[in-house]
Amino acid sequence: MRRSSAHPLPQQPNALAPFSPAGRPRIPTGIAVLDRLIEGGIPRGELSEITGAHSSGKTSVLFSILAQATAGGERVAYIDPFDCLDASSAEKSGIELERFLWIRCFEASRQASLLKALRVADILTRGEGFGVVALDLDPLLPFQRTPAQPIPIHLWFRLRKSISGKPTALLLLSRHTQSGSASSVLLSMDRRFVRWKSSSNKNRGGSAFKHTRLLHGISAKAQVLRGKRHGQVTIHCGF
Amino acid sequence: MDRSRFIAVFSSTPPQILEFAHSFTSRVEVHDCGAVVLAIAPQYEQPAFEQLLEMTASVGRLDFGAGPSRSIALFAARAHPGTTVQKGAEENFLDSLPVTLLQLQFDTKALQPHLEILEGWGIHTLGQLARLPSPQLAGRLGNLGIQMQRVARGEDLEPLPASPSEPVFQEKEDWDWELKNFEPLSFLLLRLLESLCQKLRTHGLAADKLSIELRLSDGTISRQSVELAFPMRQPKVLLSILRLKLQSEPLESGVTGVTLVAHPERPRAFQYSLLARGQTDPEKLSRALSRLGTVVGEERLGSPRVLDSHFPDAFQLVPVDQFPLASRKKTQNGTGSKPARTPNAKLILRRVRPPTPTRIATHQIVTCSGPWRSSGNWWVKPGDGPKPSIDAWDRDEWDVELTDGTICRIFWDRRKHAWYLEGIYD
Repeated sequence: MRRSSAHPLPQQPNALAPFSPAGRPRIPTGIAVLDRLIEGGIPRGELSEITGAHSSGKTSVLFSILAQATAGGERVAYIDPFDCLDASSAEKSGIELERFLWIRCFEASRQASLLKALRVADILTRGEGFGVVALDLDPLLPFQRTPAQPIPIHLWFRLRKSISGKPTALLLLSRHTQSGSASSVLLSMDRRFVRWKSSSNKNRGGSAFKHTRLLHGISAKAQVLRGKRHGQVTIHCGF
Repeated sequence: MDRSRFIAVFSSTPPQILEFAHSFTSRVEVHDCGAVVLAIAPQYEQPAFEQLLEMTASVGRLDFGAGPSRSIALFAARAHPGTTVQKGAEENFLDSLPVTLLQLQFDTKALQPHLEILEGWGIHTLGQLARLPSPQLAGRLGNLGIQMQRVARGEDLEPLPASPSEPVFQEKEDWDWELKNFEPLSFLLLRLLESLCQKLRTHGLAADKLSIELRLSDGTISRQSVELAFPMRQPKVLLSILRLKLQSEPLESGVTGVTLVAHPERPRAFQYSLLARGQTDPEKLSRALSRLGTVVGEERLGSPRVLDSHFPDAFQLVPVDQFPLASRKKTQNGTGSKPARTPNAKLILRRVRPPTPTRIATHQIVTCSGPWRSSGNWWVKPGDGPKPSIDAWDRDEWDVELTDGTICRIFWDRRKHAWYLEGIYD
């Protein structure tokens, strides 16, 4: 029987079918609206970056990703050149601390701290065993922000190559974009407004400082600047 | 029929006698009466005796005897030290020995009543006991009486089994020249590690700790040890971990000898699943963690634990050797992770460690919340404790929103009368 080209035989799925790159597993962020925007989560085997100013919610998004990874039974590594991790916040964000490796690589100078952090990232990306390696390059204090030698872009490509093909996701946290085109996903966080919750004692006297308020959270805009889909969503970070 | 010769030794230094015994045979026993009994081939009896005589100069008095059975050797060592009883001469040797010697082979508490009965019968020697009719003896003294008679005739109630000595996983080497560079030393260390790992593999064990002793050319000795995250027996992995350790503490002179000791441990068994994601080789992870420890320091690497304390930044770093294996956990939707239904993320505080003095002008503040008073450890004088969490603290905390958009936590230290920045919410 001659097969007609107008009516091709249906392709039957089989175990030897080529693996679709789109099927590579991702690590969900734990925020539903954000997951829909970035095709299910942070890609494995690639470098992703989250940028934003202070109090933009970027660390909250990072910790949510780490919590998802540890909930899935994976180990995560957090490279901390500025020693800013709050263990209590990490625990409350849902991270299983027994699967969380904290690497405190702070030094007297910012440059030395960054160099050590990059060296640690190199070791972790060359090895195995971690679902997420997070590199936090967001300085807190003014002296930590003093201009240092910029990190050469080729280092980010080198790190990306180290994790290529591995089940590890490399996440970079920064105030300003560092990795350039080396990252496959670039998420920019921008704080919209702060939510304060008033207690039952209302302010009297018209004072500008309402001491009876409680910090309830922030609402931030998360915009995908690099990725297969561009767009933005609003996420809420709170207690 | 056991053709071995038995030697019994009473000594005040049993460990040295044990070492001597294990050098001859694996059939060694420390008897309940304190004697070391060994069973050897007849041709080694004379050399063993000669060595025991030499040892008396170093270990002190030794009472030893030999015979065709354990019982006869014990009787000879106790009653006539230095005596060798040949096969066929047992009856003559045992004939005149007192029945109280049976205490070497039996529990004294169980034996005493029977000895009193024998005393009452006028039985004072082993020979007399051996010549008693067995059925009548059994009827009067029971099973123990029969056992006593068998021992009185020079028989053993049970054979002497082989007891292999504790294996020692140690490799040692000395050289006529000194090694100043690490490369040639690592080459020799690899050879020693391969031999060690082969021994471990033979015994079905792995090393959970490596101790290395380096003998230096200036006469000093450098001793270091490495705790391994997982029991392992891969020579190259052990070499890389050892290398990192040695390079972190440079030596002042060349190396002329090395002793490597592996502390054995049962290897961990990993049950992999066909359906789960591939597990990491624990030895590779251990190597990576060792490298990290070398780069940042062991004390800065670990898993944080929140301490049960009112102090805001109370935590503890748990060492990495307690890092659990990754595992695939089942969740409600079966995908191995939490379903992405959470609409919010937890707001995280990024700490400034240590808190830095700060000054914030009133016009910079948009909104603030506080004060929330926190204090504790008032009985501790400042600076007494090794960590900040142990020192006394007394502060009023505020959450502040600034005009530049930063939301931070600051506190007024009521002891130092100053404002500090504790952290920034992000």
